[in-house]
Amino acid sequence: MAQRALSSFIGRTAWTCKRCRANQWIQRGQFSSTTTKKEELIIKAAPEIDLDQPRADGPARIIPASPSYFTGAPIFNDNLLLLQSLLSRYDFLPQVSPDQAPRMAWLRLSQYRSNTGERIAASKYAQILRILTRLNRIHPQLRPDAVSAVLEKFLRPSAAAIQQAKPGKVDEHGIAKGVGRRKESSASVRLVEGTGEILINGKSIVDVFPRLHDRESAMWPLKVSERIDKYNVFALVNGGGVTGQAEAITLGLAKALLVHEPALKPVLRRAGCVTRDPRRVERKKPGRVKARKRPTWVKR
Amino acid sequence: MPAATLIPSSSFHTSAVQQNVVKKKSVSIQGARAPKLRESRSARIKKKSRERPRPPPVGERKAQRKRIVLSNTNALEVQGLQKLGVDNMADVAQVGKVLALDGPLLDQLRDAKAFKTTQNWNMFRTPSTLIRNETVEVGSDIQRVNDSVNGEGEPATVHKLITGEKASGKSIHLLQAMSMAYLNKWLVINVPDCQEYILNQSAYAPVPQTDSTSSQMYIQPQLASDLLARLAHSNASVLSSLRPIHNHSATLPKSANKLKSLKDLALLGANEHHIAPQVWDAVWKELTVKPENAKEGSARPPVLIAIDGVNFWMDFTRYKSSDYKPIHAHQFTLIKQFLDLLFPATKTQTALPHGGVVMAATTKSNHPTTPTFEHITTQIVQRQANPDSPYTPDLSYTDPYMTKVDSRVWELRNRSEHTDLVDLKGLSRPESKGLLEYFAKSGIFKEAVTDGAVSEKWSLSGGGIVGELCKLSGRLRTGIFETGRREGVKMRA
Repeated sequence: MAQRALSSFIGRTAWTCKRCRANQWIQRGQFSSTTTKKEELIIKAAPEIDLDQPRADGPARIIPASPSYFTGAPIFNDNLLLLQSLLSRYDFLPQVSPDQAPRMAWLRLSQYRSNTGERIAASKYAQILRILTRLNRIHPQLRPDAVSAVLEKFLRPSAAAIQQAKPGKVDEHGIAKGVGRRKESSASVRLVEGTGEILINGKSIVDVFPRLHDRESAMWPLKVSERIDKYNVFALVNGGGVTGQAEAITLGLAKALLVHEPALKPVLRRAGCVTRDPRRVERKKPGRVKARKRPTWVKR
Repeated sequence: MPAATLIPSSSFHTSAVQQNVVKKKSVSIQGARAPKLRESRSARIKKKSRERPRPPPVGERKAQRKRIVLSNTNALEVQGLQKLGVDNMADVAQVGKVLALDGPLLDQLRDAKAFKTTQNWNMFRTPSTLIRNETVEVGSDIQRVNDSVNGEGEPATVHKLITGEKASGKSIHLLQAMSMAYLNKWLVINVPDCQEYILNQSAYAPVPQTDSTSSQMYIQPQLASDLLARLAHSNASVLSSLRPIHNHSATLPKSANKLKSLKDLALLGANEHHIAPQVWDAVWKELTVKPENAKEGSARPPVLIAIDGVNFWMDFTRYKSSDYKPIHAHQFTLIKQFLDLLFPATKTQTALPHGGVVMAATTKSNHPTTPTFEHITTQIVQRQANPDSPYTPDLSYTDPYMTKVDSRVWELRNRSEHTDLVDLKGLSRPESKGLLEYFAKSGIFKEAVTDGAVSEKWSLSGGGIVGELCKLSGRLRTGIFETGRREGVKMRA
């Protein structure tokens, strides 16, 4: 339903006709993209020409509903102009810092493209996103309803449901599970209250991570929270290399620890243990030796 | 100044002297010295002879590599450090404490090649060692042997096979046993590295066979000589008080009969390696004189035999027979002798008539794959875990992936009944704390030794693996602990 409502909002602008509705925002005249007078803004689309009974007083020619009709991407341009006008109107309102602004999942580029049916470049959509995030930073208590209404229209459908992670549970044996990934590795970590015993793939941590740095980074969530002797860790990790496996365990361990003690989240976040590191190996490109390396230059 | 040497100084002069002062015209390039048509015209730079740094004299690099440093003047002196002695070696109260090894003992251990370069002796002011549960057990074993020697009954003999993870303290355990043996005026025979015996890096020769059924045996004169040297120098004080009672003229030169002490006898083999195997046999014969046969004044002390890296002796060696087939380790007389001592055939067999301890530790670094031997060790573990169940020597072979069974090694299984297996695991928390406190007192461990810190190091060292614990506590600290943030992790909004 939401999707349909959205497509009607950012739908195709058509010639004015009986079936089609004119652009609501512009008809309402609430948002202006220019500084001209209000009455000038209200451009009424002409009714459909009835060729059987031509009206003598009717317009001589058909006018497109959107003023951006003759641009390459009228819907996009309308949206952009609307957002720009909103921004210029409410620029003076106090803002909050980016980390305190409400988390919003904006429409993805592909979703926006399919909704509008226009071929929008990524850089163009980035302009919209930039204004959206800026408008989102307006202090939530002072945010005008008009802004909220527009921002809502750009939200990903059912984004709220997606954002909510399922809360973990400690099972009947007192075990919490967390899954972590890094590079090509994935680790599932089981954490139970204990005395600091660690088993990774059924082996001692010394055997799995001969390098001390890896051992330390695997156990980092327990170390920063000073709980290394309060829990027993049983981890299964596969894929990738040694560093990836160690840091996959870090994330899985942090998640499992948060199931036991959710209050540790700020500590673990500050220690960099909560966020998945999305970096991967950069792909090799044609004409390059590796991802970035260029072939050696030869004179002839 | 004589007038004849004066040069006329007038500028207007045409004498030959003045002409010499005038600069000669430079010879044009088309002259006689001009390069010929096909000659290279580039400037010829004379090659400088490069000064290469002289390589160090022969043997110096090896000496540097093998050098044992037992003290570090930069380390703080630990106050109130007690010494390891006869009275406290079996004291359970010492578990978790670090005890120092004192002067003459250090020389003996050094002569016996008990120290290794991989151990961290060079980090501390005084060489000292952590007393753990297993150490006290060895101490009480030694005391038990002493008591049996002084008592009425037959002198006791203890056979121990020491296994454990890498860096779990197996070699140090041997060293502690050796220290205790030296303190008790025992004789110590040390084999510091079993690998030497199988790598085909020293001379070997076949022993003339008496019967064709038994397999060909081989001797290793150089290794026997080294063994005798370690024995003679590290046990000098004990050996010099022991007089030989046998006549060895059949196998040794006549001069051997004039020797006053067993030390001289051992040194004879140490100095002349071509007779070293025979000397070793003679020394061993003297050391294992039956007490009832012994003449007056020829009592013998108990013996500690320490063997490190015994799993190298459980496979074929790099030595080749005359058919160019690999020789098995058990075909060498020295190896066979030591393994017979480690795995006695019967409990009543008194290979060491004056009592003693035979200890052999496996190695886990650069170790060979010896599936048969590993199977035997697991069997010993099972037998120790269930002492009530009757141990059957014909225990069916259970490992289906073991394709080839080493029959020589497999025979040891039948004799493994009297050998105890000590599996060295990680240190306990109190032992770890004692070790960390020693590191802290030496100025190496810079954190406060709290229970939390001890637990953390214990967990990170794989459950108190002592070598890893030492590495952790001797590590240079970084600033990340103060900030509480991991390096290289960026915060994301």
